[in-house]
Amino acid sequence: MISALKDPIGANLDRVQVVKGWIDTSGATHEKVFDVAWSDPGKRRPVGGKVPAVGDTVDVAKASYANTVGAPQLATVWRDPEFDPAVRALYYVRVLEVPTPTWVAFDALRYKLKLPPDVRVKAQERAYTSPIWYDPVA
Amino acid sequence: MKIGLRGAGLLREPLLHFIALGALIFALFGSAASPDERRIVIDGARIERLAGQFAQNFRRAPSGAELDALIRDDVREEVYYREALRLGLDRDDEVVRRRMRVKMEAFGDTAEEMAAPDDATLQRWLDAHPARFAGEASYAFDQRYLGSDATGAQTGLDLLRAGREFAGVAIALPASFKAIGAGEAAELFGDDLPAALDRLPLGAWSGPVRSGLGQHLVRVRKREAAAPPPLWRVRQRVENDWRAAMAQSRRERAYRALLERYDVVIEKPE
Repeated sequence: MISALKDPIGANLDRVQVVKGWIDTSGATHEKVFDVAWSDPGKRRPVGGKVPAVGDTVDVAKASYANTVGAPQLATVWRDPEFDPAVRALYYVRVLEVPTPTWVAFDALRYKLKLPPDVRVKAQERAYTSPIWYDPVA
Repeated sequence: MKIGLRGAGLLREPLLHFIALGALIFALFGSAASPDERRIVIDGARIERLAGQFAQNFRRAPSGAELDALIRDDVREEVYYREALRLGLDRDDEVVRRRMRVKMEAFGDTAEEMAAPDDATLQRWLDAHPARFAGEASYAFDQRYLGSDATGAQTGLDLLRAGREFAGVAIALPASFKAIGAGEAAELFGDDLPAALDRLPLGAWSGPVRSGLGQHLVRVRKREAAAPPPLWRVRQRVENDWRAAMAQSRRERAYRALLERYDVVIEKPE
């Protein structure tokens, strides 16, 4: 059971993801990201296992964004569709906000700077949970 | 008796501390720092201080050669210092001026710092400045979440006002708070909600009320205004504030006393 609530003075939530990690029989590490809950599920249907982007309200020139996309809270009950009871695995959850201006964009506005094109001016801030481990021996 | 009291009053006078300390410092360093003196004496006490500083930095005593180097450097510094004074480099230098001002201001500070204020003094201070120490308002309230927009607000209000149940949209926050401070409410719901809790009528459902999470229906059951706390709970803060204020006013008085000796002419350009 996964539930995430936005920061009341921050941006809305885009999606909740579960990240799974495991080691196969040859010893190679694997990682897979599942989109498990997202805003506007009626309109945003997963394409090839991936949920389309939430949209982007960032106005870089004003270093602002609007909470017109995303959701204040996301909650779901999730079951690993690829669960193999014989394989040890770890899971953790990460929650993505909708795109917001980075601090660089705020500084650029404040100090009236012209940024080089390769500087990131928007980002999706995220929060991570601590992991849980599945161990078949235990 | 009368004279004794007067003497005590005089002893507490910041200007007197000022002059006494100033005289002491002049006696200690004044002659050595005089720019016209052409003799440099590095005496035993001075060498001990140099060695002490070295020991503090390196955790061991300096060797003979190291001590000689320290002394040579000290002589060099003294020569430069006196020549700089002779050339008047201490004047018109922002950094030097500011440093000397800080030192002068510090004279007045030390004197009364030790005296512990009694409760009556602090209580008076607390009564005179209640806003500085006031706690925060606290509330008891119920809330129902409506989601990002206020859909269903009227339906919900009608049900709740008729005493029926209305769950609203599920949210991972309590539906009812027995006692929550304004700060904690702002952490959970954003800054708009405590302001709304101050405004809403008591004991009745109202809304929709906007928070950082969306729209809510809210019933404020109890509201306790921010009350000035009892002295024992904020004693240290009151004492610190009182001390700072006293130091400030002492500094101001000492400055006024010095200022009186000057004629200040300010010529503003037309």
